[in-house]
Amino acid sequence: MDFLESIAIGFRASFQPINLLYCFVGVLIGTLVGVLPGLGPGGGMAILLPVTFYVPPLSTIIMLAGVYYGAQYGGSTTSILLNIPGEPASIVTCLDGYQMARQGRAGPALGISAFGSFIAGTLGTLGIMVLAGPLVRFALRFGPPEYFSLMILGLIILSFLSSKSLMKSIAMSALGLILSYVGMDSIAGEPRFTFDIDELFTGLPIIPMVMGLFGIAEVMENLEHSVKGSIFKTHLKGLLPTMRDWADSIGAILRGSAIGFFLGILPGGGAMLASFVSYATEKRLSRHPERFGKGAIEGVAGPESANNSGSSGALIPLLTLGIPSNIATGVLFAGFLIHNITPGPLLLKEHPDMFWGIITSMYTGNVILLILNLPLIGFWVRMLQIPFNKLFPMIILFCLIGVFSLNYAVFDILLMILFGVVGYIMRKCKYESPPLVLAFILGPRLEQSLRQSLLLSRGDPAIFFSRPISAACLIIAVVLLITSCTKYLGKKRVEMLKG
Amino acid sequence: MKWLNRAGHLSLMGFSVLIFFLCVQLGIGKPQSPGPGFMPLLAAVVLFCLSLATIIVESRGASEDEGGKSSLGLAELAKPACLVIALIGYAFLLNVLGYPVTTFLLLFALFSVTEPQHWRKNLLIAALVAVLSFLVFDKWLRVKLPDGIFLIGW
Repeated sequence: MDFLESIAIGFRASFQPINLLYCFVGVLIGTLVGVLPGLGPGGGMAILLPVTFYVPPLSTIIMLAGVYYGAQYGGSTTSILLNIPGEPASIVTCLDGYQMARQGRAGPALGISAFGSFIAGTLGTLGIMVLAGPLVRFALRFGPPEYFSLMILGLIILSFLSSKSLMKSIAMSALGLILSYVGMDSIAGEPRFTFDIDELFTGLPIIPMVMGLFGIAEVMENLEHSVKGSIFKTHLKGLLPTMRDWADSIGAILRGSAIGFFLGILPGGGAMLASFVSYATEKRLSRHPERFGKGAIEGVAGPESANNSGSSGALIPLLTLGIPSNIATGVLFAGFLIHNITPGPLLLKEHPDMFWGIITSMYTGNVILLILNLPLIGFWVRMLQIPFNKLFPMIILFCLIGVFSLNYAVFDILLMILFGVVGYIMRKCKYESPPLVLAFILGPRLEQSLRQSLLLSRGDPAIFFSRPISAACLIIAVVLLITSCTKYLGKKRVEMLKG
Repeated sequence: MKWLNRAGHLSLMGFSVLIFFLCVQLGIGKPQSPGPGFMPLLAAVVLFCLSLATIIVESRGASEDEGGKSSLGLAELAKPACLVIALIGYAFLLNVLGYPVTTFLLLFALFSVTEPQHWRKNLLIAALVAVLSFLVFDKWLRVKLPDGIFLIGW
């Protein structure tokens, strides 16, 4: 099947009316999730998971992916108008976006972030189209040792990037692995850590866990101190950037798109890292770096483009290797599993319409997002005025109905509450949830790969180092760990010398 | 929040010790044929070591994030605690009282947590949302929500 034929299959599938409808619903909810502070794309996608039981598989993934990249668009609105990032990847947009709003240039800031996101999203989708095929062919060479090492590398990179404390992040990965082994052992057929509770024999369900850790814990944290912030009073005119704005921004948009896409592919990478790197790059390349932080339009255009192409890039490891690289793609992975479809190298062979349908739907999604974000900007600004005390009971209600509708069991609600409390305590103790959830998702496959590898090598762990791809992954993981330890020891030494 | 941090790390250590012994009971197996306890045991050992290391590092004052300051008092904890109590109550009452009544009570409690002075408005919004969500999810989307003893479902 050649490239153009694949694209045609994808467009045929994604242009089905039902898929267009779910794409619209996904990007609409995504924009809403991005606009409203307090619920990230991972949490928003998790709340939608129970709905997907009643939706066809391709429509499910199109909708969930729409929420993911739609949230990147919406996140800029709160950053620019409220100085509060709607989701983590928009943190850096606050620096110059809010300053532009204060100078009466909220319109061009919102406009360039929407256009930048559209260009980056489209380029990112093009990048997936070009790279996905060759990567799938490469991934078909992977055996159990390669998968094991790659998953270990992914967990280490995520821990390395996502937290100030590598120790705490790796501890959370270990906890996630343990939790993933609750239930029947698929090889020995023995129950593990079930404590004779019938509901645990099939394992811990992921949806109550994710909703608890992200939805309930988020609401609990926001209840401590209500989110305060006033919308900057400015006339939203001139949303279309001027020629001067374009001249200042186009380089930043193209660089941001490239940076975001390639950082998004990295396990543990994704939108947030991409936006920070793009901002740093633009500041370094600028002839007037002193303008950054004072309303430089490049400081909005670059990171907003990067976080969108980063979210496109993050789909590559999921679709080609079957390995989610961050929490949002982890929830997307769960969406596939709900419909008994395993993402990975065989997805392209077994479900080509689905594989290419997801990718091509992102073009449509990006066009819908541009339409939603420019003419409807006034609507999103009004949405920002919904107070948190009216919003959080609705989030809780959606979580409760969503979790209950899985099995019509109160046990699932109790599990969600338990994980909500655990998630809240983890936030207070500066432990992060993404490594836990990612390890929980990867756990069964990681164990299977380890046991298969050891069976293949008759118990010789050298198998992980004798195969080049596996060895390379493990060496990179070890280097990252050593780098982190060296940095920490160096810092301690400086502190001791000062003390 | 030093006490909460320490309690968190100690709980993780205790949990990993429990898992360790459960893994030994399950059977670790041999390198050429790992048993069901092999992988969780490795994870439990990592969790124990890292929790211990975190306690040591933080007790030496190396943690950047706490510095002995308590940013969270009991007053701030009150609202999250109320939410948890309300949710547990909801879980136990759902099948008894049914979805509309339990949801109305929960929403009224949640609205009142943040705005107790507007109780009439809270009452009205809670009733409206409970009925509307019941109609949308139970009648339209066919999610089987419990009717409860009042048999409100029709």
